[in-house]
Amino acid sequence: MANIAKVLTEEQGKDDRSLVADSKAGKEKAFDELILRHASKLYQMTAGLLRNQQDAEEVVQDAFVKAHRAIREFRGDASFETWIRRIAMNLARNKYMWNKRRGLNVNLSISGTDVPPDAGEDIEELTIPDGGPGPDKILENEEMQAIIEGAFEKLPDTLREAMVLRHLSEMSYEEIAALLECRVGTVKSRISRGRELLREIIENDSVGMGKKQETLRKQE
Amino acid sequence: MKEEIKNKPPQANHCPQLESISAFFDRELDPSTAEYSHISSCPKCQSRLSSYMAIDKSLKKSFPTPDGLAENTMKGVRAKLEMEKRRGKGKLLFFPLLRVAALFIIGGVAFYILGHGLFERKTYKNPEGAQITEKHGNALSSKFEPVSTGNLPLDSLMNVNFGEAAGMPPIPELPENAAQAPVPIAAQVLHVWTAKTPANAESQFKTLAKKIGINENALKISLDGAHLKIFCQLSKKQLVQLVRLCAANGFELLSPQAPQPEQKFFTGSPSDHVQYLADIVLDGN
Repeated sequence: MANIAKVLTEEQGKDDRSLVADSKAGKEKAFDELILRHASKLYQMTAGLLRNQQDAEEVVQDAFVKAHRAIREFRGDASFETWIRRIAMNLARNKYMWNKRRGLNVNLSISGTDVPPDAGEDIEELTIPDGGPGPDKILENEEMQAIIEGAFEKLPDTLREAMVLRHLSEMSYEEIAALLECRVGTVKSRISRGRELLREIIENDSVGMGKKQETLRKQE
Repeated sequence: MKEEIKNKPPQANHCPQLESISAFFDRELDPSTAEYSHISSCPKCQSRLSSYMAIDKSLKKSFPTPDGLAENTMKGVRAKLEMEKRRGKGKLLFFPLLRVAALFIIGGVAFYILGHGLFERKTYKNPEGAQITEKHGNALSSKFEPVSTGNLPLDSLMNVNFGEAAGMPPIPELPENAAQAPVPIAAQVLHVWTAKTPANAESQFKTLAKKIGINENALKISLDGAHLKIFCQLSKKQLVQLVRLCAANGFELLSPQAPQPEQKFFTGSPSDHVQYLADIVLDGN
């Protein structure tokens, strides 16, 4: 056990490029270190895309299995991280489409939807008023958390992907552009549009939630 | 709606575009720009940034990383790789010495059969008048009753008209030069396919299966990475029809195993049961 710990420590001192070279030479410990190093980041991404813990973990494992199979063919033009992210992204997309066709990903409830049809048309009018509870406070409310999760679910796939990579994977615009194979300007636009749409949906639902609470108070 | 948001004018007189505020939040805006200075001091922009922060916090809270994820992933990957390795070894079947012994036995049997000329040729004509010659092994017929396969060519069944499903093209006619010699269909058939439209592959396969009388409930479907695996039990006749339908409706068969779409005559009875596994590669690799 002590030996294993020692070996892992030695591996930890190496950068990804060296670990990839060692993995190509058949050193399994080097590949283990790559897994330990990147699994959490990949999970954040796949969990955000799939919104299901089991599916996300499975996709991360499959991504590493696929990478292990193909490690000898990995030329190193991009970093290992970009490469493994791309594999995981493709697997997650396949899984997402599979779940979507089967209706398996609808596991988030959306509450407070009794909003008048014209409410929230103008985003500028719906900013949270001064003196009221700030967004941070509101988010402490579990119901609001559910609203945000539900709103995130409603986003178009391209916007949601970009937001996952930014908010959960904490990747730079350039890294996201490389992964999604699009321009940095497109990434910038998608993230901005995603946020605004999300704000809009949240604010609509918040108004609905507020009205519901007011009605309940009046009934009491 | 999307366009409205994208092209929305700045909030106040001098507030920058929303994309810039968003980029500021992500630390992707050049600090030397006037926009950067404005956002840093504008209360309205700050309010918007607060809501972005709230969204960020909420999303991070929604997808927490499970404890021990990295270690569990490592174990899972190791287990999957080990399983693959075992499967690979299983294909070898024998240890080296046993392999040599097996070669001797197989060689001996082959020599015995060839040396005694124990194949019997059987000739018949198919309905189109072409003469078909088949070999039937009866080396053991003096001791055992031969197993009857019927040797019924399925060609007469191939031209059956099916009920046309909505929107589906009819089963295509076979080309003139289609293979005429009967080919055997194994009891278990594995076909690897690619689909022109991977997103619709499953539903399309279901539709085609339904067309030949295989109900959706009889299909066992699973997704393994980029592989859509569909298992079902059907008759030889149904399998031949299914293969031809798939090939004509956006699927491309990669496996050489019979039945192939262009094959016309098969040995055995049309009602023989076949276990069929269609492995549809969704990413096209």
